[in-house]
Amino acid sequence: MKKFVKGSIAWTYFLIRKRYQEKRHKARWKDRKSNKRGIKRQYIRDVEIHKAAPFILHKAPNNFSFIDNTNEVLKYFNEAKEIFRRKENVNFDISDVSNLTPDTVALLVSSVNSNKFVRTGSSKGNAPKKESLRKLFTESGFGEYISKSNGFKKSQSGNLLHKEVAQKVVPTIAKEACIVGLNYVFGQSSPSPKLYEVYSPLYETLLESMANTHNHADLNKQGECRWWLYVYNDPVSKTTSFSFIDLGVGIFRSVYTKKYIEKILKASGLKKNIDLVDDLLAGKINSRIEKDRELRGKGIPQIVHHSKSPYFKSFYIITNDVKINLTKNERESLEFSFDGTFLHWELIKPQIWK
Amino acid sequence: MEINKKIVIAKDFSDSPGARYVEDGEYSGEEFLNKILEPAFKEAISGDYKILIDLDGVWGYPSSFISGSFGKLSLENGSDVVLRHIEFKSDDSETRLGEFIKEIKNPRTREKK
Repeated sequence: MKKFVKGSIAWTYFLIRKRYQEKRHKARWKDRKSNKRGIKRQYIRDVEIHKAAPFILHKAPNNFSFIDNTNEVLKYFNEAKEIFRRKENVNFDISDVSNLTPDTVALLVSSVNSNKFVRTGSSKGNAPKKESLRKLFTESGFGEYISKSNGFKKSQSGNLLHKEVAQKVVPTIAKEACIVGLNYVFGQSSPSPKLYEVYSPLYETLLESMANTHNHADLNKQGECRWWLYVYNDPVSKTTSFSFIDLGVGIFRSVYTKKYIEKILKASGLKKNIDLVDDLLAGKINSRIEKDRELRGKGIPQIVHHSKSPYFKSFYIITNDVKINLTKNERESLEFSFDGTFLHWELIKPQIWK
Repeated sequence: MEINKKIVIAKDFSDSPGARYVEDGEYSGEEFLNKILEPAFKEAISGDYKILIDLDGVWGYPSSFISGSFGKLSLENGSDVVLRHIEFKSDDSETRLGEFIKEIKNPRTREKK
């Protein structure tokens, strides 16, 4: 029989148990537990409400192109977000759109897969009636990420739709995406010296996009954000488009504002995000990561430099309420905000290439 | 100074370098620095010889990779010492050589707080 004396194992267990019981009777413990239970209960309630809620038919704008019609498309997605917030579900009706671009497919697929966007709700949708757009939509692989029962299917078109679940920088995916583009536009899939000016900027841009997402995705938790990459081979223009998207908080919301006066100006609206674009592109804006701060800030300038390549066309960055056309060096303030960062560009074979 | 060691990044490390830190993902600058570059560099200093670094056959060098490896090495050891013991080779591109040397000579983007 084990002896229950001071210093014995049984005594140690007794003390641990005693301390635990005392802790359980403290107000702080009770508050935390009830709070946790409350959140869980609320979540279960929300799931039930959403399950019973109707699907609201949400008609997409005619020009369903995030790049060409940014404000209207953002409005559409913000309205969908609001429907989910009201604890209703969304039926994405894109049947009547007259224009649909690959960048919007990327935005749609990343949104409906984001818990932040959908919350506890569900989504369903249809495909465009217009044949060419229907083809683009079904060949995107969109259906693989939505639901097998919605009638979407993945075709063997050579397009690449990738969701990074590990939420990190993945060189093998950047390499794979480069091969898809090089193969389609230039008919070559290896990094030959002749194609150096093409594959090197392409690879570096993809890698820095991933790294940027990893650093700017969340204010506190580095890397806790899924990114999506959609590589689309356009059969008409014979170009390959790259759409890179993360639904984190966006670059400007993750910006580290150093001076107190800047914080006040930003909060009061006197200093707008668009005023920070030049600093952003020059790498002068700090992320909130302290480590090696004096070494950082070269990623975006490298992307900006590559955007001027004759092999890249239509290079855009959309983040928060700012849209930047890097090719034309133009920027505009948006009416609606985008919580995340979106990069889009096209790989082309210019006339000069032989 | 004599070249006594050669590092071919595409063969000895990866043909697809990653970002800055190990926690960012595979083939980071930090991984390259810790596993290959720094040990070779220390040996080169003690043996008083040069290392030749072959940059060819790689898909690209993201700035965060260069900064996380050669930039960091330069910051810790000084650019003169690094350039005395490291030489680069790139048949693919002259520009590429320039990027590495620029990073070593000027690794900082801003002053340390």
